[in-house]
Amino acid sequence: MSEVRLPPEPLGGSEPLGGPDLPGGGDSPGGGELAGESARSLTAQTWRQFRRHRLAVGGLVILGLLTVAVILGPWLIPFDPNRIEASTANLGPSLTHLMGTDELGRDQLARILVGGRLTLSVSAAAVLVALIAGVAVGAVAGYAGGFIDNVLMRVVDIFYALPGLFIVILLVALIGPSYWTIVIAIAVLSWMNTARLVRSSFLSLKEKEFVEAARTVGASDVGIVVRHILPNALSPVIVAATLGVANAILIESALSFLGLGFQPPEATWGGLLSDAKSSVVITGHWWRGLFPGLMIFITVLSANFIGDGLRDALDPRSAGIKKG
Amino acid sequence: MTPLLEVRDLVVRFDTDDGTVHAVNGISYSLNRGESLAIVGESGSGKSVAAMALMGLLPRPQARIAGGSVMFQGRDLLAQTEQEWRRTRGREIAMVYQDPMTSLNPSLRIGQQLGQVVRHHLGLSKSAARVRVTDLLALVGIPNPGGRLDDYPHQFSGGQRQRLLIALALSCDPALLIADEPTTALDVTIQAQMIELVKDLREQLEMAVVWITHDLGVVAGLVDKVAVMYGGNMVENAPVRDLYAHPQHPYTVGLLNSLPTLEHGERRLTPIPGSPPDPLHPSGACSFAPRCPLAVDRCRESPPELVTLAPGHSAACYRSHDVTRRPTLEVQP
Repeated sequence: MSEVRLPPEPLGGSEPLGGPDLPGGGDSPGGGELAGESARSLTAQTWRQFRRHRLAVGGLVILGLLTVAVILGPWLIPFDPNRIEASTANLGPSLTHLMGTDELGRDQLARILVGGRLTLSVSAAAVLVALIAGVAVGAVAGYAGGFIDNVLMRVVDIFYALPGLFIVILLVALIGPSYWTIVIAIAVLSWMNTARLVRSSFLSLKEKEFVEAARTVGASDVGIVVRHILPNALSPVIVAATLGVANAILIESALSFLGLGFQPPEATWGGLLSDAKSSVVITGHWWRGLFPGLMIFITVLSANFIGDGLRDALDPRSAGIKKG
Repeated sequence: MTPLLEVRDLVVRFDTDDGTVHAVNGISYSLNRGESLAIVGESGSGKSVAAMALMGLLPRPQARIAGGSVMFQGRDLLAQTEQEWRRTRGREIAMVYQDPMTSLNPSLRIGQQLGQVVRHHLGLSKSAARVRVTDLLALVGIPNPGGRLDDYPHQFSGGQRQRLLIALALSCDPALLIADEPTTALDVTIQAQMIELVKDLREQLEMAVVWITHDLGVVAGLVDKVAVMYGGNMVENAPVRDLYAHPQHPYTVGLLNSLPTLEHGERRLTPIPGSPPDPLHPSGACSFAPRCPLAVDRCRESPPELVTLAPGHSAACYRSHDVTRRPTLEVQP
């Protein structure tokens, strides 16, 4: 990494350096190539990095397919997810009913596709809300420090300590189980992790010399937080967010289990899974549990791979480095 | 002509749980436009704190300026509001930091990082800022400046990053540049380059420079004046030639004796015995007395004042007339 120029180059009067006397053998043999690559936009470069992560690309493809499937699928399937049909009750997977039917004779594939709409959108919305709240609280606490930090972190502690489901029951009981109540309920249970992560990143980043350097050239507090600290604190947040998707799906299913989630006949993956408990255990209808569980599994795994790939791609230190 | 910068009796205290830290105890110096001053002292002597006070960036609420004034271009910096400070920092007074590896934001491209400073202070448009940054990179000797604007800091070598920091500091033509040990993290060849670079740029841009260092060897050919700090006090203040030829304070002599020279062959370096004073418990006497080979009873009773001994040369020592360049007898080869 060291420069090999020996004589300190003289700065000739007003003429800027740069012309013919540039020494060869600088620090990067691929300097020209680097300069060319980095002229691209940030998104292009991130995407290029991301593509190198095969699992992440796979996750993105699968999640994309799932999204398309849950949006378009219900129209393509010749079954109404909510129509009760005694003659088709409790059928195993077959060519007609690819994922079998439940005890009321509803086609499970149709219910999974319709349920996916709710599950995916609720998880995404809840993660987004939790992220915004967590980043805001964490950033203020970490940057301000002292008394404000203490107050905000005690609030976080209180949210950790409170029996989460109690709050959710209260919330749902008071407002009723609407879409946004459930989103807020999930967010309320999961924003604290992000807040702590962001706070701890901020605590270490705000002491970094480049923050001090930004201050010496006249940057404001808001500018420092938004431009200098937040971008460097994002990687753990992205990982937390992808894990949050998994968590949100699980919380949603827990709510459904308690009867506080979406009310029947609305289907969600978590709800389908909890409905399946007795069928799987008592009557051995394995398809009732397998398929909703598989959907959750695949979604969570894909989200995690995407998070992994994003973290690598967004880390500027990995840019321009050829991997394996 | 009023000086560009005039620091009078600056006192900085830190309030900690263990008591009050006497970081800077009434230092004074002045600097004309285009002039350069080195503040020399060992770790903990208060030199960096004194510099941060000039930037209005002392850690709050622990640090407090307990006295004195800092006049810059005829106005008192210590009376400035935070808004005014933001216009001063980077625009009129800029700073180069010690560690080039960590002083650049790793997630911002160089063009943006430098560009936002010139846009903030000079109100340039995005494209004008790009042109300005390209010129700056060329000025500090980055090869192919136009092609490096969209690179991230990690794509530059250590020496280049220090150049980038200098470019950042120079971006708005400041009247005063504070260099806080900008060469300590670099290897010697790059150190020499940086010193040359700052020297050339100073002449070219007519900036005043305050160079903070613990290394008297670095500043010899670089600055006009040297101020030596010890334990938060300014113990000697002199034009650079005078200081090397006729040091008037035993601590300065100690510093000079701990430098390697070429003149005396394999002479062993002479360290200064003892350790620096505890800033939590000032002795109320000369802070160097416990380590001083010349100390007499008087030194342990009351602190000496800074006394002018020759034009531009002052020292805070009762025995400054007895100080010689090499108090230890040497065997000539």
